[in-house]
Amino acid sequence: MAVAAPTSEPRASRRARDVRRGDRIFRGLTVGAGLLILGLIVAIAVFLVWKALPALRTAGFHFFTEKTWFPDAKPAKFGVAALAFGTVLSSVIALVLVVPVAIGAALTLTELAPRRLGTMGGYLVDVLAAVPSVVYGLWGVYFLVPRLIPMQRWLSDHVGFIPLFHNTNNTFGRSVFAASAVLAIMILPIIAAISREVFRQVPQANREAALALGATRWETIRMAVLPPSRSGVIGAIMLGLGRALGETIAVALVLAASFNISFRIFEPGGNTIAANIATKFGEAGSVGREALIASGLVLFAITLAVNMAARAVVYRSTRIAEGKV
Amino acid sequence: MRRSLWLVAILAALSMVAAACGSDNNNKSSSSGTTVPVACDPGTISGAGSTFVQNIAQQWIKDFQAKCSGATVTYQGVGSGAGIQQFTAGTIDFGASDVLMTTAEEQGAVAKGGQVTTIPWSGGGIAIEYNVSGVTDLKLSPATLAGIFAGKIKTWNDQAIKNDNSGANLPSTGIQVVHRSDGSGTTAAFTGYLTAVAPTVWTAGSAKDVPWPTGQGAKGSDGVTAAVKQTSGAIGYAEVSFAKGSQLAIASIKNEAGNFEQPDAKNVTDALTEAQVPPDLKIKPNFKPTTADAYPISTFTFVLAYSKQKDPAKGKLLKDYLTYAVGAGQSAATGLFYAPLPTDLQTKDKAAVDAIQT
Repeated sequence: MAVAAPTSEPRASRRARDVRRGDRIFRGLTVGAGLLILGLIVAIAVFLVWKALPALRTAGFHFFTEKTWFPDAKPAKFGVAALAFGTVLSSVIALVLVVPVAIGAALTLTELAPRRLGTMGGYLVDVLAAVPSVVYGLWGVYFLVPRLIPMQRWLSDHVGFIPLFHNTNNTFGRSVFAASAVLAIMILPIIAAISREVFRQVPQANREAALALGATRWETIRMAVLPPSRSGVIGAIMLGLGRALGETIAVALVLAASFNISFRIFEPGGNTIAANIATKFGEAGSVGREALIASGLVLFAITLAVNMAARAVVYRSTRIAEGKV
Repeated sequence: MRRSLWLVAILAALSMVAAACGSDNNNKSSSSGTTVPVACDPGTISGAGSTFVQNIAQQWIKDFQAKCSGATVTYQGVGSGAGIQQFTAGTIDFGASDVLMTTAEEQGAVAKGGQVTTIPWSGGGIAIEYNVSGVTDLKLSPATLAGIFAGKIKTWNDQAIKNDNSGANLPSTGIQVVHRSDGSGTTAAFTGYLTAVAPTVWTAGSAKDVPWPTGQGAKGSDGVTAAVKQTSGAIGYAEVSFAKGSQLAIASIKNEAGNFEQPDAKNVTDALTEAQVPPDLKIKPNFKPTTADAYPISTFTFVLAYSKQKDPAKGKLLKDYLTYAVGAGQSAATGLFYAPLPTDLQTKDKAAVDAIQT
């Protein structure tokens, strides 16, 4: 204001005031939006803890060690041990199945395929992401599960000595493996689409530099595309993992809902926290509802832990890439 | 624009009046064969709960609304437990549950909305569906059925099953039990039956969800039916409509008279007739009916309403709908694979509906 010429003083100050008002409004809106998100997370956490407390008090520490789920029985007996185990196991297997495929697909679309084909393939991947999860569930139950049986039977017959593939009751079908396969297909588009965007961000100059040095196409990908994309791809995988951990209805439809802790992924059985909430909520009594909300709190905690671990990994890997460690 | 809106509104009002007049005429020549006119009050009521009763409740709504325009009834099959919860919270006008409210649940509801009237408004059989190649008319006695679901009978050519099916060609396939993974009134009725008829074999108790000794879980009756259909050697339980709809074979169950019976509407009603009707209508099925052709795994499902309705208009419509359901509506049961309530119970239900104050 002090530098403004005396003649234009009124107009300039008015404009400055207007700008400042716009700034204030914009600032208020953005801060408000930020606080809203923070408030939502706090509200969810408070609600979960508040509603879960009675059930947690009833079950005590057994809530974390007990495997069965009979909160409305007398005496009530319930815990998340088997559920939490199944949640993590099915999601991890899904990741093992999907990550190579998703990254391979993303690399094909950005690095190998002709531009037009790449764009069209990208659309198809996005369409997969738009399929509702209940559709995946129904497709899983009626189409995929029966068709996965021969493969599971073959693996169990021939490499059944590996505990993971062992099957003691000779029934195949609605197993943790089948659920993981459905989950893998569900999270494939998320990981593939984000990875594709990440690979696309790599400057074309990097690739040209590698090619100019005489690198083959594979060497170019390995040296010029993958290293700068690492943190972004890990982020994509973590987003997919988040969806797998929380996926409800598709898993509830496919899994044979048993409450045991077993690594034999080809046997019918297994259960996850989210699927258990979906199956038990309709008929739950008052303790049952509290117990289900308490299990939701555990899922919330698992997801938070996974996210934080992912951030730590990304942070470390970027620092390594930047040569700071 | 504005004038045309008015016109539409007037036309709509006129058509409603006309339809209301028309509905009175319709009653006399109603297609369902009843000569009793439907009591009809306008308004909107909503209910929620049992999935078991959903099909017939929707049919009643359709038929009732056809005779009573101006009335809107909605029903959502969200599960008995959720139905009781919403009923207690007062977010719906009537609840529906396959099992009676527990004392604690009823106390909660009474505290919120006063005395509760419980009315058994439909019934049905639970079919034992199976998938065994080459076997089409499986017969099972109560002890054998309990042994299978308890995991004590493991193969289809077990001596106990052979004894029930003399002469049948039973394979040596392993038995795969399929049960519900979600809490369910169907499970409560089925395990209630097993506990009643074979207490020494079936020891897992009776509830909406029990610690199953064997087998795999599936979500909903549709899930159980799909799993049975996919798994060779599988056996499961579901409402009759699901087994019929998927063309799965249904086992004949031995009753107290020693006959092996199918869950046909008549056989189920015969079993329901033998249940003791207490004054408060909180009826428990008799799992050991002695009538010659009674199908023993038959059960009731209930509607819940507050005995003193707070909103007179809604109360009147609720009474109209319930009167239709427990009376003329019962004729819809057979076609939907439910069983009509015994006539004696229909009369008592009607009296209970009449006693609801508006």
